[in-house]
Amino acid sequence: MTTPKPKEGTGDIATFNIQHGFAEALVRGMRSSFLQDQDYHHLTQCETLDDVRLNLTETDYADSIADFNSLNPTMLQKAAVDKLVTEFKYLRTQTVEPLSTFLDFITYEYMIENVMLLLKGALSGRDINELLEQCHPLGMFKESTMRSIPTFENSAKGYSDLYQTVLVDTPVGPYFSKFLQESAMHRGAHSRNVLEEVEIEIIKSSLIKYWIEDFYMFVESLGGDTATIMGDILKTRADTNAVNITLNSFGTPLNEPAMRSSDRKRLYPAVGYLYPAGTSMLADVSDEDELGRVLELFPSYSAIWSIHASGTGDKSIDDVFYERDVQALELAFESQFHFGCFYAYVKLKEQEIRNLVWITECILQQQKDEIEKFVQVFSNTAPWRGKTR
Amino acid sequence: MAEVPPTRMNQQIFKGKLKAAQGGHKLLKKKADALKVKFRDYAKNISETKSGMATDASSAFFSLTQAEYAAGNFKQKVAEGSMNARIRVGAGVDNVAGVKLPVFTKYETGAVADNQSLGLVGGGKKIVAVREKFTVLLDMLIKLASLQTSFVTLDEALKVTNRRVNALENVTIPKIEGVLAYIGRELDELEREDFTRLKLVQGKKEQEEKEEMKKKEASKALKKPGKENSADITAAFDATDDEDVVF
Amino acid sequence: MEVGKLVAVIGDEDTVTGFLLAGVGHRNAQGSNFLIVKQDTQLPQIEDAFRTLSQRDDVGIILINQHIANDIRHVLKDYNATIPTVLEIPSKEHPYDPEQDYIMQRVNMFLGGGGV
Repeated sequence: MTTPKPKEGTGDIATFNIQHGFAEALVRGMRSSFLQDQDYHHLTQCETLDDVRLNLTETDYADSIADFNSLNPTMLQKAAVDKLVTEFKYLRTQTVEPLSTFLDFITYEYMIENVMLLLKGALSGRDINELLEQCHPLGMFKESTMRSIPTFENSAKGYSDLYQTVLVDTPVGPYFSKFLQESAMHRGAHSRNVLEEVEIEIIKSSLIKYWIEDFYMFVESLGGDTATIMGDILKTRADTNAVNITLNSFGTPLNEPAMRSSDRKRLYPAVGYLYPAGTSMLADVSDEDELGRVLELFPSYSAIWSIHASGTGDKSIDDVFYERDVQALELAFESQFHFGCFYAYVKLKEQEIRNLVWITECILQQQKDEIEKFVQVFSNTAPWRGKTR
Repeated sequence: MAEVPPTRMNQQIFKGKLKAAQGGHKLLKKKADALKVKFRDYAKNISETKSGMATDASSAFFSLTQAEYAAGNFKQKVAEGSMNARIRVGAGVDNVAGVKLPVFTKYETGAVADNQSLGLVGGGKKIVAVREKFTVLLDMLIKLASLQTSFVTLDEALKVTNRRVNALENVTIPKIEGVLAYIGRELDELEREDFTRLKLVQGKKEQEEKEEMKKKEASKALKKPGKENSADITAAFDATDDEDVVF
Repeated sequence: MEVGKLVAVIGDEDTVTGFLLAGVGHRNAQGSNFLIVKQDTQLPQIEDAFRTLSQRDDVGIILINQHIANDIRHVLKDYNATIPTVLEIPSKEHPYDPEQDYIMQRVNMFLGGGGV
């Protein structure tokens, strides 16, 4: 699809640094920007958001929040995301192929989100400039694309023009056309109707599926450690999506027998440890018990499932997935001579931002009992580090 | 008060009015009491529900935070697209002592939920929890809305009723009583005047009779010409002696 | 025209999102029954939204965040129709303060003062 054939691989222990040593050094330097155990400790002890602000001035976020007179979770989130984006863009400018394509791949995920937001928003007659503000900054298109988007009129026609002339040309355009093609094959529907009728989340899930598959093919083609480590991460991600889609489809039309094989099955990525044996079994699952029986066959997921099934309420399946992701990403970040650390950096920072939002929200809403319920990044006390608190 | 002529007929009319006013007063007082009881109920209920609302609301908001942690930023997606209300409120009417109180009842249109697949790739269960929490909160708010509307309506009705009760008690009834007293006084006065007048007339008549008797006797005795006599009679009659009789 | 009236919401993003998830949202050609008040939302916009919503006869209840209600208190004061009922609700960042709620003031006066 969009994937250009890499001119050369990522290189091995002897040659990696020739091309990518500098970029890797940069991202490794950012290791120190993550919040430490004691930072988290201080933050969770705060009584007010002003305290949080003061505490954050001791951290890498000092510059981002320097201008804030007050703090609220939304502002903090925005500032933190902006900081991440700035760092990421800086990294991107320092890279050469194939690392730059790899970094671009990371942004496609956010681009998909943005495209969906724009299309759906434009369809319901929202002001497009307002929508652009809400887009994730990591998934912004080229300047020229961004400028042309608001020029389309707010009508069904203008919006189909928008799709046909602008969005197809974006990096995620091919995913779109693939989705539309498949839908057309299934129901013979016109592209515009598909976008109007199919739920935004389902379209998004389909696009993400294509993205994961595409990304996976790309890292496979790079070979070496990158293929091993990123392959593992992406496979796990694909599995997570498959399990989540199944679990979250219960109680929605997607779980209806007819939809299960036609629509839900199409959302399962064609990569991953669950693919193909697991996903074909997942396709017939109709409730949690059956899902549990399928997952029991896969040791790494049966453990996660048992936490969900025990239903203590302490940890949801999302928390467990996050925990496992953080562990895998930390490993990826700390090993060398592959691209995984860049992906890990973005994802771990994302987790950190999530944690910050969580902590500030807990303080704001005075839910101090819940404040510890997040997954720390690079924590010395993490279970997988074998130390106890 | 002066414009009411103090006649027996008016007295009758005003007596009727007084009776009606007192009856009305009693009834309104009863109504006011009934409203007051209900009003107090509502007030208590509102104050309880409102304090309960605070906890419900914070748990609802927190569930949203949890969902956001698990599912990422999904808020902007919720507000997109056209939608049909799944929950509406029907407006019924409750009746307290003749005051119509609007009552809202939750009413599900049966429309399919929007954005059902929200959080499909993660956090979906948390979003379902948000739906539930907010539905609970909404139920409570709808109840509260009924209470509050009733409260305001009752408040208004109570004020009006109280005003009427007070008006009857402090203005209308005393006024009627005043009129009645006035009519009574005037009528008594008239009666007394009549009595004295009659007495006077009677006295005069007796005197005249006596004088006539005397004159008759005298004329019998003197046998004088009757000319003088007739002049005497007219001289004894004085027009001012007798007042005009006013009925 | 469908049976039943709508529940309208004027509130911050979290409040509106929550109630939309609960299913009160209604948007068609005539507009929507909710307003998301952000930090940069202008006061006249809120006032207009309130006036429009309170004049729509298919709206039965208007939920409004208390901190927003305080901003348009002058409009709320002039509003004295019974239906739609205006209900002040807490928001995430501003816990509910009964002192500022007209109805609660009245209730407390009644309960505390033992009747008028």
